[in-house]
Amino acid sequence: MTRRGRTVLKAWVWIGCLSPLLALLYRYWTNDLTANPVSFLTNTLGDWTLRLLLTSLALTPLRIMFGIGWQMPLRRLVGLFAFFYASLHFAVWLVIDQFFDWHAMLADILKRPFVTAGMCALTLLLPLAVTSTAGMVKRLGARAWTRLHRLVYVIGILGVVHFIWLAKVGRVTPYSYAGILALLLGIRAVDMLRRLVRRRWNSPSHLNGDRRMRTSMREWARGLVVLAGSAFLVGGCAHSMTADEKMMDKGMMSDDGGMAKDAGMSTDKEMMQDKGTMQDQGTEKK
Amino acid sequence: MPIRRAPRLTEAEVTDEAVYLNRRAFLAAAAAGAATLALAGSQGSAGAGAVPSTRGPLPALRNPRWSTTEPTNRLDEATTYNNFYEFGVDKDDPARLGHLLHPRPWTVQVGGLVRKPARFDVDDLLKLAPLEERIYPLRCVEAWSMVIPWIGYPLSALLKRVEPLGSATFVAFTTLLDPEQFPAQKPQLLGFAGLDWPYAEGLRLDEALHPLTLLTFGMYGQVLPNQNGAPIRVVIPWKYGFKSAKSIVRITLMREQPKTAWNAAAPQEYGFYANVNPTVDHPRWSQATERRLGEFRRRKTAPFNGFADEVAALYTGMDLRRDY
Ligand code: HEM
Repeated sequence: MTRRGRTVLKAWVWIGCLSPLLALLYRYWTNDLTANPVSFLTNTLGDWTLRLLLTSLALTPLRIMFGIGWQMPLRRLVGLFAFFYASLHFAVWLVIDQFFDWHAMLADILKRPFVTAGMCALTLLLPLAVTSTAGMVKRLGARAWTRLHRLVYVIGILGVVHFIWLAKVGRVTPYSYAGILALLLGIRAVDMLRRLVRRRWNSPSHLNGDRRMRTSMREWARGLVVLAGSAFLVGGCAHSMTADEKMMDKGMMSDDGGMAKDAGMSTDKEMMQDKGTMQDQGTEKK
Repeated sequence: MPIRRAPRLTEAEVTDEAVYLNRRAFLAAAAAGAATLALAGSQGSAGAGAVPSTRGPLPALRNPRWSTTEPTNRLDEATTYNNFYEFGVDKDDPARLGHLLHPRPWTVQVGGLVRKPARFDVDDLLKLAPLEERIYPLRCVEAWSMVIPWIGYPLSALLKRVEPLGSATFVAFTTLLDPEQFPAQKPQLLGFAGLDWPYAEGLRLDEALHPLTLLTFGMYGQVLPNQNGAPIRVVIPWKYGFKSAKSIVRITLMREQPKTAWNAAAPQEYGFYANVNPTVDHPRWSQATERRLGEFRRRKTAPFNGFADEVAALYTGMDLRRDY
């Protein structure tokens, strides 16, 4: 890509990443932050944190799957915007929601698992943001830097777990995010394994167990960890779905179009039977 | 992007007290006229034209004995920020999709362990007892609150009419089940349903008979908007909002504690009693404080939502940490 092309691309990313914030400002000006502005701000900023985090995690899988590479230089920018929104999200909680009530905040961080997860995610994002400059890459050395920045996988998982834990029964969105994250991490894991297998077969090293062999063992282990992480997420989704299957079966009954105002006597009768209060059912008919 | 919304009522549309006092006088006259007609053998039902059905003013006198003196929230706050899962899980779903609900014609079946079970038309229920305006704070289990002027009469008036049997100890409320009117009752993608439909709530009989428990038909001087549980709901001001069942089609008296929707979905988070209690936290957030919509700072939550003097006696001897 030409330099000019890259500049234009970056400009668009800036516009795209800033527009959710501009939309919030616009809604603030037009007095349209819903009846509960604090909650609306927190949730909108949290949503965009997670979306940008997953976007930054999606750029490499795009290359793996489709062999396109122009998006790769955008990872840092998108990641930094995720950090930016995370900080705003946190600031709203700190300043507006809790109003520096340190005692209540500490209690929340310790006692509420969803806050703990969010706090961990934000804390881990901090070193990544600080070391995001080219100078820092040089200072740390590419290998150490890369290893440090793998923390973003953990952050992604923590972000999704934060959402799952805070969401009320019946919300689907956190599980869609979990599914997307599992897919993105899964693509990486499979790719890593595939590369390892290929490297092993192409090199004579597996015959004499040299240093490269040991390295590849470590990479295998790493791949397995990523795979296990994805499996955990997918499993989490699957679990919540099976838990709800029962309800889907119930929901199917609504195919019976005959239930209007009287709200399905049969369903309610079953309910009453469960409770063993049938005595007066007969008299109830009218 | 154009969004279809249920009609929003503005402040200007709310009748102020002077106007509905006049209207009350007018209604009395109309009722007298109707009575004469009835004597003349006419079949016309009293007030069919005068008593509003699905929209419009609902005349009532404020009952200060059971009202808080705190300033009320704006009508648009109470009609655009709702938890009504039959329409969807987001706060703006009820206002957006409320137009799908048809609150007339509507009947309520009252039965179970009662001497005189009956099916009531909601327009007849409106006339069963004098309507009062009660200003109650509504405390959501999610730690926010509003102050709303409701219109209705004590649920006890209806329960006494059907004569509960001695064996009745609980009252169950059932919300309408109709996926055409309540879109979220349709089978959801991958079976994500959350709540078991129809929505079920319940009270102990003594709680249901308490004068604070309001059978509710309106708010802000108006007939209940659909997103607030039209045409008939209950309001139990000392309990978290989810106890106050909306769009009720059935009231059943029973011997055992009824199964209730949120309790069944997440028993460790939502108890059967669900009394507002700042000392018992929700597992995921503290209940010690709340955000009153429209206020900047959180405020302290009061035990029983400020009605401790009136209702604490209902729970003497109970461990409210266990029976949360
Ligand atoms: C990378 C870090 C984080 C991500 C990706 C994230 C993401 C989210 C998301 C997606 C939501 C839900 C939005 C919705 O319901 O639509 C949310 C809500 C929330 N987050 Fe975070 N968050 C992060 C960090 C934090 C931190 C550090 C805190 C504070 C300690 C925090 C506190 C909250 C609170 C209080 C809510 C609202 C919960 C509620 O309304 O019940 N989050 N966050």
